[in-house]
Amino acid sequence: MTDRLRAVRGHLVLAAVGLACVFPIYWMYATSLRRPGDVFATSLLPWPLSLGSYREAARELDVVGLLANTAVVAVGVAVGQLLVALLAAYAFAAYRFRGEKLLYLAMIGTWLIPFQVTMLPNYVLLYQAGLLNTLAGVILPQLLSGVAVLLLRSHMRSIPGELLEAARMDGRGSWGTLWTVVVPVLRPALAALAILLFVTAWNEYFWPAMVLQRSGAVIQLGIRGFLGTEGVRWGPLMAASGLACLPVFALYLVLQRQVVSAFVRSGLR
Amino acid sequence: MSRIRLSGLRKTYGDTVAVDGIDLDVADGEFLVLLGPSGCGKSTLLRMVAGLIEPTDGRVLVDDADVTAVPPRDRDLAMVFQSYALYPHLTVASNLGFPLRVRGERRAVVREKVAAVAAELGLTELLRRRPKELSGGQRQRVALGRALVREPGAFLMDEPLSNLDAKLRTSTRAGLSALHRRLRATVLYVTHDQVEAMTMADRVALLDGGRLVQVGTPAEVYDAPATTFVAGFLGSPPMNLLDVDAVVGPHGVRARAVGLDLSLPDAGPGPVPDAGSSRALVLGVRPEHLVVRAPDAPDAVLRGRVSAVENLGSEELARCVLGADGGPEVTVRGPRPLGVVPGREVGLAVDPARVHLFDPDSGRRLERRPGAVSPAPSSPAVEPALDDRPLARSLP
Ligand SMILES: Nc1ncnc2c1ncn2[C@@H]1O[C@H](COP(=O)(O)OP(=O)(O)OP(=O)(O)O)[C@@H](O)[C@H]1O
Ligand SMILES: [Mg+2]
Repeated sequence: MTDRLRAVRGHLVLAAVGLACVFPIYWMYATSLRRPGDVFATSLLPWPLSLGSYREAARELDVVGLLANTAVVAVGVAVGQLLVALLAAYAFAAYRFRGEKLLYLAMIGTWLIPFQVTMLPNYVLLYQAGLLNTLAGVILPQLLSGVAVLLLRSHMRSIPGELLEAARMDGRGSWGTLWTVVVPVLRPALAALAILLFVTAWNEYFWPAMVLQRSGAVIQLGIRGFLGTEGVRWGPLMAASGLACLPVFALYLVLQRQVVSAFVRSGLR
Repeated sequence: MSRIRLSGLRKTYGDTVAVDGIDLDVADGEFLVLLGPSGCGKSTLLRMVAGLIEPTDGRVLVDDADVTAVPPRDRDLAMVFQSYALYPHLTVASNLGFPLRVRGERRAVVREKVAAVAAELGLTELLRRRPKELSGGQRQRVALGRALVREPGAFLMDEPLSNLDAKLRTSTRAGLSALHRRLRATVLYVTHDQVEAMTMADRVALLDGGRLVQVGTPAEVYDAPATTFVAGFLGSPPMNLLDVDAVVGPHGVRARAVGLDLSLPDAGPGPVPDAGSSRALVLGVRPEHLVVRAPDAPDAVLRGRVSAVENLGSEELARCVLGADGGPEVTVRGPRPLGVVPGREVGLAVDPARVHLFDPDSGRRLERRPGAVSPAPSSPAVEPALDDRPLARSLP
C-alpha cells in the first residue's frame, strides 16, 4: 500500500514537472490560435479558434522562404559539424601522429573560447571574403564544433580495437572502415549529436543576425520584426514561433528512438 | 595453403621489448601453437605476422615473399580474434560475407560461400540474427566462419577459445583439430593454455619474455624440456625442480640434497661416483614419475613427510616436504588412492631415465645418456647447445 502510494506521489511530481515544461509551448500555440482580438485572453482553451495570427504572420513574412533559409543554415551547420567532427575524431582516435595533442587541444579550445571573442574577427574575415549577407557566411565559421569532436572521439575510443583490426584484416582501408564499421556502430551517438547540433543551429539567433543584417534572413530574424518599437504583436509572433518549432519537433520524432537509446546507453556505460 | 617464415622479428615499445628476435618457420599445413604466459609477447608476434603492427626489426615471409611492408589485406591471412570482433550492426550472414563483399565478390558468389560455411559450422539457422543475439559458442563459430569464408593462405588465431566455458572449449578444440585435418590449413595459434597446445598442435613454440625458448612436437617439449622455464610451465602440476649438489663422474652423476640421494648412471660400464668435487645443478622430475614407497624401502631415493593430499577424481596429488621440516617440496601424482596419509613419513622412487638435469645459471637442459633405458630424444631447443655427449664432458 505504501509502495503504491509512493509510486502515485512520484508520478504526481513527474506530471507536475512535465506540465511545467510543456505549458509554455502549449501557451504559445494557444495564443497563436486565438482571434487577433483575444490575444490577451487568459482562458485555457483558445476558443473560438482562428488562423488570423497565422495569416498576419504570413502576410508580413515570407514564412516558407524564411523556414527554408533557416533549414539550409541549420542543416548545413549540423551536417558540416558532424562531418568535420567525425573525420577529426576518427583521426584522433585511430591514429598517432605528430602534434596530435596540440591539435586536439586547439579544437577543444574553440569550444571553451566564448563566442564574443571570435565574433568580430570572423565578421571581418567574412567581410574580406565577401561573404557577408550570404548563408554560406553564416555556415562556414561554425563548421568546427569542439564539443562534437570531444564527444565523438570518446565514443570512438570505446569501440574495441579488435573490431577495427578485424575490418583491416577483412580488407577495409581506413576510409572504408570509417563508413562501414565506425559510423554504423556509432549510429545512436551520431543521431543524438545530430539533433543536438541541429537544434542549436536552428535556434541560433545572434550570429545570423550579424551576418545577414540586411537580406533574406532566417526565421529567428523574421520573428524579431514583431517585437517592434510600438509594442509587441503577440499573435503573429506566436504563430511564427510555433511554425519555427515544427521542424525541430519533426526531427525529434524521426530520430527519437535513436536518441533515447543513445542516452540510455551512455548512462549504462 | 601458405608457409610462414619469421626472421629476426622484434618489437619494442620504448624500453619494453615485447618480442625479442624471433626466427620461426611454420610449414605449409602445419598447426603451430605459440604458447607462453601472459605478457610474453604472443599477441604482439601474431599481430606482426598479420600486419596489424609494424615490426621494429626483422622480416615476415609468406610463401617466400617478403610481406613485411605489405598491408594486412594483401597478405592473404585471416585472423580470429579473442573477442571475436564481430560487426555488431550486421547479421550473421553479413558478418560472414563481409570480407568477400569488401573484395568485390559478386553477390551470388558471396551468398553461395556464406551458405556453405554456415552449413559447415552449423550456423544456417542463425544467419539472420545479430551478434548480440548469439551465445558465446555461436559467436565463436561466426568468427571462425568469417575467417574460413575467405579461403586464406593461413589462419592466425589469438586465444579464440578463451571466452568459452570448459565443456564447450573441449568440444570446440576437437572441432578445430578436425577442421585443420580436413582443410590441411596452415594455422598459427596463440594461447596460454597448455592443454590447447598439447592437444591441437603439430608443433608447439614456447615463448618467454619475448624470446622463443623451445620449438617441438608436444611430446618433445613435454618429455625433453629445453629449460627450467619450459619444465615449470608444462604439465599440471608442472615438473618438480630441486636444487641439488651433484658429483659428476665419467660414468654418471650422483645428486644429493635434503632428503634426496640419487644415482644417475650413464651408459657404459663403470661406477657412479660416490664422492668428489661437487657442483650445483637443478634436478627435475615430473610428478607422475615419482612412485610412492615405504619410507625405509631400499629404492626410496627421496624421503620426506606428506603435507597434503588432493583428490582429482581418478588421480590423487600428494605434496611432500623432503627431509626435515622446511625442506623443499615435491608433488607426486598417481592413480587414486596413492596410499599416503598427510603427516606420515613417505619414501619416493624414480626411474633415473625420467630425471632431467638443468644448469642452475642458464636454466638450460643438460643432456645425459642414461644407462638403463634407451636415450632420450635429442632436444629440439632453439640453440642446440648441449648435444648428447655424456654430461661429464659437456660440463666446463
Ligand atoms: N601498445 C603497447 N605499448 C606498450 N607496451 C605494449 C603494447 N602492447 C604490448 N605491450 C607490452 O608487450 C608485452 C607483450 O604483450 P602481448 O600483448 O603480446 O602479450 P601476450 O603474450 O599476448 O599476453 P596475454 O596472454 O596476456 O594476451 C607486454 O609486456 C605488454 O605490456
Ligand atoms: Mg594476447
